[in-house]
Amino acid sequence: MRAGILAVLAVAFVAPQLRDVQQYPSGTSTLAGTVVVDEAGDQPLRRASVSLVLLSDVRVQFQTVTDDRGRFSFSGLPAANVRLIVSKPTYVQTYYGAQQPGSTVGLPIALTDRETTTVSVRVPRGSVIAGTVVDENGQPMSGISIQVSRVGVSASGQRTFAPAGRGAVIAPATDDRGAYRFYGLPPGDYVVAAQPRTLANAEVRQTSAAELQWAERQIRGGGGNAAAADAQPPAQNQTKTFAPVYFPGALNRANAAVVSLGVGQERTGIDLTMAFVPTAHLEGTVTGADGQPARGVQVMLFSGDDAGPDGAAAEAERLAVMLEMGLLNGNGTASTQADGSFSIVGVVPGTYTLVARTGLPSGRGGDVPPTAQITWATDEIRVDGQDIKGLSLRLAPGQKIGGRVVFDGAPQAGGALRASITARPVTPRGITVTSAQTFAGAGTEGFSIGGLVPAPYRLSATSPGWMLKSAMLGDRDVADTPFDVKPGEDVSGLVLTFTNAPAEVSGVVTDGAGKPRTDLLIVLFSQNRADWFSGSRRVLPPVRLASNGRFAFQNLVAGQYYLAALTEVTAADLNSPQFLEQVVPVAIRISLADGEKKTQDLRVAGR
Amino acid sequence: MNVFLLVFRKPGKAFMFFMCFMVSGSWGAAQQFRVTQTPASGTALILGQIVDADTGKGIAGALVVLSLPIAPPTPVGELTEMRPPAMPAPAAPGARRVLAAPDGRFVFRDLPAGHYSVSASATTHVPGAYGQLRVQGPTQSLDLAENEKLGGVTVRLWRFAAISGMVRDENGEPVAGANVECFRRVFTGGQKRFASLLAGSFTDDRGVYRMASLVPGDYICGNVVNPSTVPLSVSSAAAASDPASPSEAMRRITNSSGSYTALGTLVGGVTYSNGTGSLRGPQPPPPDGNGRIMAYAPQYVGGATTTAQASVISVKAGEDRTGADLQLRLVPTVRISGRLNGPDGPVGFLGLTLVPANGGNIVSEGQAAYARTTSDANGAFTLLGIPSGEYVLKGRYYPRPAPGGNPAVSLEETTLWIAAPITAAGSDLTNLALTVRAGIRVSGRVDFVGARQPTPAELQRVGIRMQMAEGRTSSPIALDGRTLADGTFRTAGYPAGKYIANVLPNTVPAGWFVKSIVANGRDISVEPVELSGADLAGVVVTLTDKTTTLTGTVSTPTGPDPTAEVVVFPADSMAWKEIGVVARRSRVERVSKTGAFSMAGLPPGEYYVAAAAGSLPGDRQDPAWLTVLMRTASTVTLAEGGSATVTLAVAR
Repeated sequence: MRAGILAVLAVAFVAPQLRDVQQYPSGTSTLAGTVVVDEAGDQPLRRASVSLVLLSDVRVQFQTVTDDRGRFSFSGLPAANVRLIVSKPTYVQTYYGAQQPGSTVGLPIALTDRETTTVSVRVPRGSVIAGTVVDENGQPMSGISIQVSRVGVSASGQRTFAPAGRGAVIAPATDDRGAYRFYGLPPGDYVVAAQPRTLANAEVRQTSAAELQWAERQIRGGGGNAAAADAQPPAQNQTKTFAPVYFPGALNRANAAVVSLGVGQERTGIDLTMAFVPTAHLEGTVTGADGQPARGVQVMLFSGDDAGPDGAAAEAERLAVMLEMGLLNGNGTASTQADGSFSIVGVVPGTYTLVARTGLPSGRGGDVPPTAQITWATDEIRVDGQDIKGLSLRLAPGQKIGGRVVFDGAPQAGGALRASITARPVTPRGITVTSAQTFAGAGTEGFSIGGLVPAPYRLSATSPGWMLKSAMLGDRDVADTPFDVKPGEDVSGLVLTFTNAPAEVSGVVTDGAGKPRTDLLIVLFSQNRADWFSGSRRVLPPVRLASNGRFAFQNLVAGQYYLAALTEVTAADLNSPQFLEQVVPVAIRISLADGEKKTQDLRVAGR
Repeated sequence: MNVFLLVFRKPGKAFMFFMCFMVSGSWGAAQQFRVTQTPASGTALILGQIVDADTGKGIAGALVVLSLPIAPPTPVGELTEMRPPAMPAPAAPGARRVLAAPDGRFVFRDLPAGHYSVSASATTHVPGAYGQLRVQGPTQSLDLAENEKLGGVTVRLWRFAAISGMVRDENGEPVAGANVECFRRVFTGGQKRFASLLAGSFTDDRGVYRMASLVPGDYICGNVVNPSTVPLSVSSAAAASDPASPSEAMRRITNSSGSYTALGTLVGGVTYSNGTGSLRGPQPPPPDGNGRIMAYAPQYVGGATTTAQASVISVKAGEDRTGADLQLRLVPTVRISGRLNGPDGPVGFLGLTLVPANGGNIVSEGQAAYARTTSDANGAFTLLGIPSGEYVLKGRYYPRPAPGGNPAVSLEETTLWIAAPITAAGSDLTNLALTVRAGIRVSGRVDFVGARQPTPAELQRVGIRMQMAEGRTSSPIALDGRTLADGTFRTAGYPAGKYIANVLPNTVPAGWFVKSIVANGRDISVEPVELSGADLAGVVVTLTDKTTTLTGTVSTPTGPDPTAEVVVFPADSMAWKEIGVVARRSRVERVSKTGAFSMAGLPPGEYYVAAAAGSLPGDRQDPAWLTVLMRTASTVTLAEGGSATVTLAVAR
């Protein structure tokens, strides 16, 4: 399977190749250089893989290997801007020009026809995390998956976790002695988790001493009268399973200890003990608003700790783990029978929200039209290994939210404005609801959206030619900060303000010689780290430079922003606060007022 | 997409997985659980213990699985032993599972009467089942009567073994990221061979590898190197192909297991990757100014560069063998290039593998393969980085209707194959003109001889497959023939070679048995047939509703011998070899607790029947073992539908 993962990466980077061999870029440029170990002595790094990627088409790659003196050379290259990556097992994969070890933000290298460009790359030694996994009896456990995640801090001060393993690191499982060893790690803070594979899909009961003694008596009695007298078997043990465990022994990541690594450091003794946790069966019934048993209702179990901006991601991950472990029925939901009953097996201890929902077009997620008759019921439950029976959920209609819409600017001629207003939950418990409504455009008008399952939500809205400037609930802008929809309480008094004069920033990127650059990506994101969340209005998708070096960001809300030019970035990278944090040092600050059209040219060092 | 990549980047593994799949899914159909209902509750119980086979100590927390009433297992071949040991057989629906108590004991209660099997696994031990007296030996089922209280059910498990060592490069420096694989000794086709059953182990930052979770046995271990050369035109054609609707070029590449990702060093018009684990493995130096490549040759423990010369490492249960070190060697290499011509001219986009000529001791051809490439649109091919040696250049085009889907070939299209011997001796081989040939089809009809005729559905399910008589496996793509409504069948085209014909076991209608598969007056289900040149037509597959029955008992001077196993094998020792992976005419079974045994479905013929001590190692495809057993064996002749009874004793 390792080979498989490798191959998939190869496809991502390489397979969407050129259309024709004749087009394979070539030229008269040469790139030569040396690779040394980033420590005193400048020891050459021999037999390191050197990859070169054309920035104008990242699908084009060249590769070579350093010789015994750490030297490498590519010849016959096109005159282009390229990215250089050095890899060698046990060393940190290094992008040329990266500011921090392991950073994937590097500097492009400009190649010129008939010239040799020379570079030098310093590669830090990777660090090692190693340890042993044992069971409750201290016996080594083999085949346990080890996950090492790099810890970052999000805007709101919460810890974020990114799986380590990019580059040279091989994701290991424990061997027969329970030992694991993760190497080639860049310096940083890490948490270590052990994921069970044994019993990964099921709960199981352990044979009890009472059962054994009873069975022995049965056998001695030969099934005769003596045995019959003892026919009532003893109660069975509680079902149990292995739960993921975080170093040094936490059952959830919030309580995991951080392992801090310097450069080239080896941390051994990161030992873990896999413990059984009891699993419970949940049983209950769902009744409709009419009090009758509700059939075919989806019942879902969500972990209780899903609050906060990162809650959705954490919850999705938790759910994925549970699904993977088979701790949730089928696709993570149970469906009620004709008598309204449901059961969920194999639930590990924790705090959960049990959610029943009806009226969904299909499954979870997706937009729900406001006409959908959504009913819902929830129950907060604490599971501690004991079966829970008699859970009762009574469906109720979804909540309403509403308020006023203000079109801030000259009313458009001829009138009717169409706006699409979306309430998007920040936890998976809620459902995204979108309502398209038509407004006369003049002055202020009322709006209303129904069918919301109680959860924290953010609001967004679109209207052709207009942009949502703010969505105020009291003094809070709920386009950026979530607001709670609580059971039985409709939300009113929202004020959505649209503007037809959004802010803009545009400019031209040139190199040192004043020539337009075309090979970079421009990112724009808020200086306020509280705005760094997925779907934020103040973290814009990266834009490519046009052939004249021009870029433009339109439909912006006022605020303080960072603007940066990067050689490589994906839209997904911008969801990562750690990534944005890496970009901050190379960004410039700009300020945008309401409706301001700002020009900001950029000059990038180098040829 | 992923599937193909798996095949191309690591064909050995993909092939092996398939082989395992084949065993459990098709050839091994007799081993499948046939459970259709959850058990009625009863009052019987089973009390037992999971113990370490060597110490007799209980294994705390072993997972014990009680499989519900099943047909008694019929061993179909040593391949059943080749399932990766860390992966226990999937439990049948409704099977019961418990964790053993800290002393290894377990109880299953409230059971109805029936045949049961009890299997167990623990992370420290090879999964096993009740009745085994040696690791992965034959098992026994438990017959439980109404209200029976059965105690003393002991399941022995053998500890995993481990082999570890250090990999150093030519400078003596530890190498990180090198892929080491261990191949276990098995017998197929009546010959000793090796098969890799576990994923390889990558060396860590200290150069240390550890192959853990090994079934005790004999192994060869080595550093796996699979260099690959891909013409840029091939990677370009592959990239230009829409994954949703692959181009003809891509279809040809994927249907011939061709490599197409251009990950490697650009040398001329091709990319070369040394195949030691991509960026993670040891890197040989860059090609010199003339494009000369020094490469890491495969290296096996014992200083060998081929599997044939590798030292065999024998590990016992629980043994931790250290010091199985490997010293990588850089060797000069040559370039091999040429052109492929087929029945219709140049053969473009054909995947090619270079297999060491003496690699026949590796069961899977894919695992034995060394270098890979793909011919370009004009049929030209290039292999870089090839150390001197004797090789066979192999290629197969097995067209499937939709790559990645059902691994069954399209019977309408012509298959292509090549197996060209190549000797690389110090200098480049260029302008080789090699011939690619059309596959050889086998056709005929299926006859049912019995009291009733099969239903059309039963008839049209019958599948015919040729397996390589030498007992090796090649492609994951099945060339099986299917029976048509008129009772005729036709397979896709096979490469030339010796084959044994089989009816896929799970396609034989219930109550029917394969009597014979006759071509030119010979039963090619028990003796090999040479396919060469022309198609083989007029093959008659005969199914009968009369089964042979062989029964008997094994006893000691003082009474029944419940510890024995019974080995049945052909009386003609010529029939011990070239019988493929699945030998129809041999069986190994454990006797019951009364020393009795009963086997149905053996093909008619003359057999040796011998009793062996169940605790001693033996392999029913090992001629040496059979020669020993022969001395104390009884001879029986089974006529069609006939039966025989023998009384045996284990030679002491």
